[in-house]
Amino acid sequence: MFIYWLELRKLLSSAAAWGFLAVCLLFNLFIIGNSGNGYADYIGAVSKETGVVLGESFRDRLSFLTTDGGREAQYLEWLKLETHGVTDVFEGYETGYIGERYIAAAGATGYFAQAMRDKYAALQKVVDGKAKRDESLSLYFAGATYARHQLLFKSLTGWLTTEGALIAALVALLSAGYEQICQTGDVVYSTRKGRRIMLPKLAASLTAGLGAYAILALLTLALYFGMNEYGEVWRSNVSSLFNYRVDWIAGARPFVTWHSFSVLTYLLAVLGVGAGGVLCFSLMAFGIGMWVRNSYIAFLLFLAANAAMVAVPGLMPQTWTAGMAVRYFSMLTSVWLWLKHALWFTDGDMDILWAHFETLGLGVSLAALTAFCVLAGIRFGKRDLT
Amino acid sequence: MRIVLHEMRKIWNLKIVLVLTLLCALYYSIFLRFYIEYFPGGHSKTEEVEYGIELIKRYGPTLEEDEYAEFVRETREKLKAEMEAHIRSNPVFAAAGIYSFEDYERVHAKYDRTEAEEKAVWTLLREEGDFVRFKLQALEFIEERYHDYTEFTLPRLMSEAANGWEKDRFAAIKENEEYRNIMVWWVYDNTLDYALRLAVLAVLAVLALVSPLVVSDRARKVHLLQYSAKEGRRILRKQLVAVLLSAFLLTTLLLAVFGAIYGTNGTWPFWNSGLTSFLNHITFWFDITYGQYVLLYVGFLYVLCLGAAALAFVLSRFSRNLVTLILKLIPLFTVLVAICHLVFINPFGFENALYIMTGVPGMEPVVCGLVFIAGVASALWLIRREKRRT
Repeated sequence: MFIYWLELRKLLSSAAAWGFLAVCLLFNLFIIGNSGNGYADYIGAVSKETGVVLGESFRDRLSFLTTDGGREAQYLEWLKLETHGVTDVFEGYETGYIGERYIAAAGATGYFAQAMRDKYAALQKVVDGKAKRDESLSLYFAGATYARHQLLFKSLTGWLTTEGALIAALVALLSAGYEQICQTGDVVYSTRKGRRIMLPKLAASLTAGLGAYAILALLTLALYFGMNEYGEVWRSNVSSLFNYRVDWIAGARPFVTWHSFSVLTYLLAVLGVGAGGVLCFSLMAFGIGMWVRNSYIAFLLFLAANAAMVAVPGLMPQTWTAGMAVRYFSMLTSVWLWLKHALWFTDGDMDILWAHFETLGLGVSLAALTAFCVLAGIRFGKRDLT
Repeated sequence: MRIVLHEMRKIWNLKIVLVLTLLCALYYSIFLRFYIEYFPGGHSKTEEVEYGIELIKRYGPTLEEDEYAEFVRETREKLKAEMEAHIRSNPVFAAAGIYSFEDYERVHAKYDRTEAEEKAVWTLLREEGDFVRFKLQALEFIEERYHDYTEFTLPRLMSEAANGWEKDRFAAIKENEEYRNIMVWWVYDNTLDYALRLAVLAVLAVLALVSPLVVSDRARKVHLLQYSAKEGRRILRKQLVAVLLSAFLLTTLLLAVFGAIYGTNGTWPFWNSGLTSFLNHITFWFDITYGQYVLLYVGFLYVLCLGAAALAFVLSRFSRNLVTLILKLIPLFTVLVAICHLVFINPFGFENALYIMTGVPGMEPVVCGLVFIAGVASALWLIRREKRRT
């Protein structure tokens, strides 16, 4: 434990890492600063009075609202228009066609086609449940929902995961190569006990990586929610009738999540998976750092390994069963989970074969990368470092 | 020079070169392959590009009124004959009550087609019909654009001009008849997308290749030995020369390899075509040809890569180890990627982001030049500072 704290202190004393964190924050501030949406802020403010469940009582409360004229009067008018006579989008909504379109577009056959059909059959049950609970009759940000949802759950959380992953990977490489950098490796690694230092180093780098992600997320989201009014919208359901998603194959369709999520719980869940992703990248970088002693080449290999995971599915002929298997299984790797971050907790898209792909992928990635780290550690323990 | 060559040998470290080659191959597969394998990208884009090439081969880089009329007349007749041959030979048309070109066009324009009519219409839009209806569609597009440009497009653009510069430019286009240039939008757009992504790759590769030189020496404390001699004090200057030469070489190599790959797209016939064209959607500040655009791009890329290399050299000097160097390189790379987007998307066009942001045309070379000056000036300052340090 003592060594763990010492290793952690080494990482925390890196001025460049703190500087990088500050640059990331500045970048996030730039994104947030360019995302003002007066209408969404107005909805956030009035939601405190109207509540977020669309219905009789919402309409009554909305009708009592008054404005001083100007822009707010226009916003109120828009809100009344958008929420007037809304119906539950999940009532009678069929999901089977989505799966069929994906199957046709991908040319999937056999097990893959069946798995896709099974996924959408399961989603149909979820949709029926949502219809029963009138989940779509939720305000969210009314007409500004799509823009706000994309900003928070695609742009901002996407960048947070990217920045967290980068810093976690670099901190892991710094930790793995620290003795090499300080030229203390010959002394430290000359004993069996010294070689075991990799375990506290790994624990320290995982802690530092997760810590950096947590600090980034905390500060960025504090800035975001400080600058954008959410009011009662926190309690809105993300599967609101105003929320939707668009893909080239299935077109525009409601935003359906496997579980019932409010904006708050969805944000927490996304941050949780983001943290899991950061762990994966940290493990991967640490493992590579143990194999390759030069931290610079290790980082380039880290990039190459992730790029390879992105490139391989596109290079495999999709007419082969093996090609299709590679494509669907690739989606469970950490880099693909990161690329598909805007679809976490939903049915995903054409490339996603299984329900809860983010949880499944995270589990598979964490297990595989932990095994990789263990193997790298065993090899490092026996390796001739002269 | 001998020391510079030795420093270059250190830069072109075999392991880094191998990993970089792998990264470039993966980058190509993810970001560039699409623009080669899927160019022009379906129908009727393919036909538009083919007609563009045919027009250039027949009439040169501009299309005069009489040439246009001749091309449209001849091509239309040819296509009509081709379509009628298909209609005569394939029973699917008779089943839909289509016996001539006119019948087909009538059915094609219908919204509520029967199943037989649908089948007949799609026959000429598929390979079995040699995509002949798409060829006609491309011809109609060329006709429409040629007529509309002076009649509707140019007057509308002139009325929407944001300032006097834009108005003057549109007037010049009209007076010099620059719109007669044959430049197919899909060719320009594809080249632009490929060039932008190649620029990002070049910047990434240059940063990755040249950055470790100084920091590696300092990590091994070689500089302490070097600085004890007068010649050794000049080592940073020689390292800067080596870094700039390596950046130049790598940029040349990348341009040669990925340029050669792009050459397989067959866009060379457009080399002497002006970019401001009735077939292009972008207006440019001066009468620039496709070939000149490519040469300017190459020039800008060299300037940007050399500036990036010099900046990386400075950051490398201020890094204690390779990981802290990477932590500094990532923000630099992000800024350079943003600059690539500003410079290489519609350069010298009215839609260029730099022009939209500043309102001043021709900022692209200024920005590239500033990156270069900032890099080289800071590197020179660093060398002077280092020479005097105790």
